[in-house]
Amino acid sequence: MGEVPPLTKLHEKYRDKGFAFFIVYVREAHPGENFPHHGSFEQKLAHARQLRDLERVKIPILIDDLKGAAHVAYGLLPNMIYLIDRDRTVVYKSDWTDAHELEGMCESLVRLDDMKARQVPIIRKGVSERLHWIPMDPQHRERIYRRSGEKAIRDYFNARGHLPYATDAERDKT
Amino acid sequence: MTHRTQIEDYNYSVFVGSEEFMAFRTLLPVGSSAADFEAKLLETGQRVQFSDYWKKGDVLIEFGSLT
Amino acid sequence: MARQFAPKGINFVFLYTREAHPGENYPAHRSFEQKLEHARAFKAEFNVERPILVDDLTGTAHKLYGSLPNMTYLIGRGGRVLFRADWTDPRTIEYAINYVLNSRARRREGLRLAPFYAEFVGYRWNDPGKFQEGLVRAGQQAVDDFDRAMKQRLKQGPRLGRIELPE
Repeated sequence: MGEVPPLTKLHEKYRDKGFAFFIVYVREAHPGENFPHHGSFEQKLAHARQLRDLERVKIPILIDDLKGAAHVAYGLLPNMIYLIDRDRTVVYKSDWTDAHELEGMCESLVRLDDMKARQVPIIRKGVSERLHWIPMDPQHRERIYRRSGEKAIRDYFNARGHLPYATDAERDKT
Repeated sequence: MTHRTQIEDYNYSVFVGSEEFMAFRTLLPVGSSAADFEAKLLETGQRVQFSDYWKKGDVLIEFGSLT
Repeated sequence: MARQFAPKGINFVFLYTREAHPGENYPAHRSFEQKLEHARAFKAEFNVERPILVDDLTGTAHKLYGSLPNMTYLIGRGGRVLFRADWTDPRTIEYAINYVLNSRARRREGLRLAPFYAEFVGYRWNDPGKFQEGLVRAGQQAVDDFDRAMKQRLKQGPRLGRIELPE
């Protein structure tokens, strides 16, 4: 689970400019006692409602099916983001949500709409990719994991050798 | 493939436009280690090693031709 | 841009590849000397100040990096690919370089950053006149070949954008 409040701000700014925002509810990235992995669709639905209430989500939440059809189609990462334009082209994608960068992309799509309206010919489009740096917020991470349950923290520790909200020093020791 | 055929294959004489897009997609994604190679520096005629550039700092490399 | 970013430790180089649109005036390279000649003509025509590296006749370097006619890569000190584009657009590149410099500055201030990945489609409002000029410079054959290739592509009809699944 990444950042919801900044996305909400973006949603408020762009929803009247022809953008639709969605959060797709997928499998629990870090299942724990309080939020275990989904055994039924009703359970997935219940977790999604909890997310909406606990994080005060204003953006529409779509619930993926139990098999994760949408999640699989889009790459299976826990917190990806995709920006898709009217022509169904994937205009931006990232393996982690960064609302700040997304704002820049939304702006360029607004500009693109404007160019198209003025019939400026768009001769070529290309793809660029880059290493994208996200600031890690250990307190936020700790809150998420504790909310899921001690098991989530234990499992992470077993997988990585350090706590999910470990400091650099602790991380380097492993 | 002979060396001559390789040269003629690479240096196509007719532009067709079926680019090898797939190669770019899979070859050197961001985060990976850049590939090293040797090339001739036009200004001096010397042979240079591309890695010499990134050993001293960042390098921005543009690929292109006159046409 | 090279002059603007040189003091920040970024070197700019140009790698000369095969002729993307060979024509009578600038045909496909059949010898290394010919490739060097074309590279010199390129340097003169466009007043290129950046060092020009000339790839071998079989395109070794060009192929290592993906074979596209006008790609750009930004490689960090140590050899890590920080940014790459399947096309060259000054604005996109400037944005990418500033982003790298900015991230480094934030890290120096003590901010903990983790590396992720982002991919963008760039829209370019190219001046069609200049591109056509380039083809004419290469020779009538280049103009005809490009025309034919474009008609072929139009016949194939629109392609739906595919979703690329990351590793």
